[in-house]
Amino acid sequence: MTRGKDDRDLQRYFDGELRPRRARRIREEIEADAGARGRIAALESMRGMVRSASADAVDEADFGGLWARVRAGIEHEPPLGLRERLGFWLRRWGVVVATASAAAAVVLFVLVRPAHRPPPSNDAVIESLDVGPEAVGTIFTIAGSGETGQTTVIWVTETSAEGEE
Amino acid sequence: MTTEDNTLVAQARAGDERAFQQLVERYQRKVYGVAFGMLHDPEDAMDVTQEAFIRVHRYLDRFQGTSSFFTWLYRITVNLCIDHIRREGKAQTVDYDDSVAHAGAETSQLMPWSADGNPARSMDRKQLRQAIDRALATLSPKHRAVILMREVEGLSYAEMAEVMQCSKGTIMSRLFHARRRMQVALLDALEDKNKTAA
Amino acid sequence: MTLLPKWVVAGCMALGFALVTPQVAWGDNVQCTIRSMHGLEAPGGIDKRLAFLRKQLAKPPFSAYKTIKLLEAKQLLLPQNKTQQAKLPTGKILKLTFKEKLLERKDQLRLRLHLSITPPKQTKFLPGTLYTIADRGTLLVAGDRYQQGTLVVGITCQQK
Repeated sequence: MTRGKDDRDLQRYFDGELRPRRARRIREEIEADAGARGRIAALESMRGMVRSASADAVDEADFGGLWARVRAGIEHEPPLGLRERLGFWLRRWGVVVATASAAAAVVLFVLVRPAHRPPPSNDAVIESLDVGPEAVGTIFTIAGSGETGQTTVIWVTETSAEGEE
Repeated sequence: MTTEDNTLVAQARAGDERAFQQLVERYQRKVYGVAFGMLHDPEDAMDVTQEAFIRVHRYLDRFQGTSSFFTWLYRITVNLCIDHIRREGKAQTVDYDDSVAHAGAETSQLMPWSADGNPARSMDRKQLRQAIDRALATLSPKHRAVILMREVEGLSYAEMAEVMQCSKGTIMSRLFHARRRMQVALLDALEDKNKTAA
Repeated sequence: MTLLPKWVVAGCMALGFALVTPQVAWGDNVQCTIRSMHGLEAPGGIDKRLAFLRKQLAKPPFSAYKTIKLLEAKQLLLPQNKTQQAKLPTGKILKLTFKEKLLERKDQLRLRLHLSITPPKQTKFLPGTLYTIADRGTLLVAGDRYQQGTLVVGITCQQK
């Protein structure tokens, strides 16, 4: 069996991607060629190693908290914006429905305005602050305006040469 | 798409939280396996796994059912991993240019392994795992993705092409060169091990 | 004059008490969003997804950065007194513990939290801070150098 292009046939055969007739022909060639058999064996061996390594990594993971995290993330995700939703319907149903949806949205907005919710306060009270051995910590606030109050900031400056990982 | 996936997706779309949870629990190990193989960090892999399912939930209405749910989920996962790698600036390898025909048979051939040159026979499980992890790290993100999808999850070329939004030819090419590179990296690891042992 | 039965009086008092005293009927969990933001001197503007912090990020010292980009936002669900952690783009580990809920200042809910940001298994940078903040409020922690810029971490928590 010659190399180069044939190695690609070998790969396709190994991955079960050849049509039955071609696969039969390649199999016959492999059976007659020790080098080709060796390459197939190497691929099988490597596949086994990759699977084994992956299985070990997955076995070590703890999926106990994953659903809770996903659920929390879903609850926290903002709903798809009106623009995104409109775009989706446009692709599916065309301009007419999009126009009707926009008109309905305007009517709804006029009739049912959301109640005003004051913005939250970012004014934190720092009860204690420990910084690293070669660091300086500064607490300050950024003044707000209108409904937003102050925002508390902790600024940590590392005095050593190291910083970024 | 399997009938059961079909049913769960339809129920999840209708707002059935339990159905979506079943989808998560059904695929969490597979998604994590791909993410870990791509990122080599358990915490990053779990973050990506979480984000993949959140994205799936967010865009469930858009899932047309023309591909399998799993292929769609994989696509989201692989893209999140590639974004993560790029964001962290850790993509040190250059993506192999699949569009360029590469000549030179001696550098682009699959290799047989001799009896004493087979890493699988010469290393214990822990050494093998480390060698595989290091070998995967030598691959570009896209090459890592095809190796994991093919070797671990058994996706077909057509399914991988759909995940990576490229042609089957490109997938074949990436897989071929990724396998070749892995073989070289594993043989290097074996050589290092033999040198250390000597 | 007819006296009301004692149980009616007691019931009315209980109802009145319930109406007057704020009832705390929340769960014991707090949901937090950890936003990692990248401040750079190159021009680029403030990420649209940070609109809720725009006013603060446009003022000193953050106004020194012409670009503030949201790198990632991670969710943590904190049961009371159970530390959860998230890895930041710098590789440092952020650990957050919800300690308790407080009701003060005209029925405003505040949360007491413990935060640390350190390299793995080290005590550099910010080994610990204990703070209280209003429900849905955001604390900013900045100063960590990251890829020719500065990492600013926003921690926003709300009761669940």
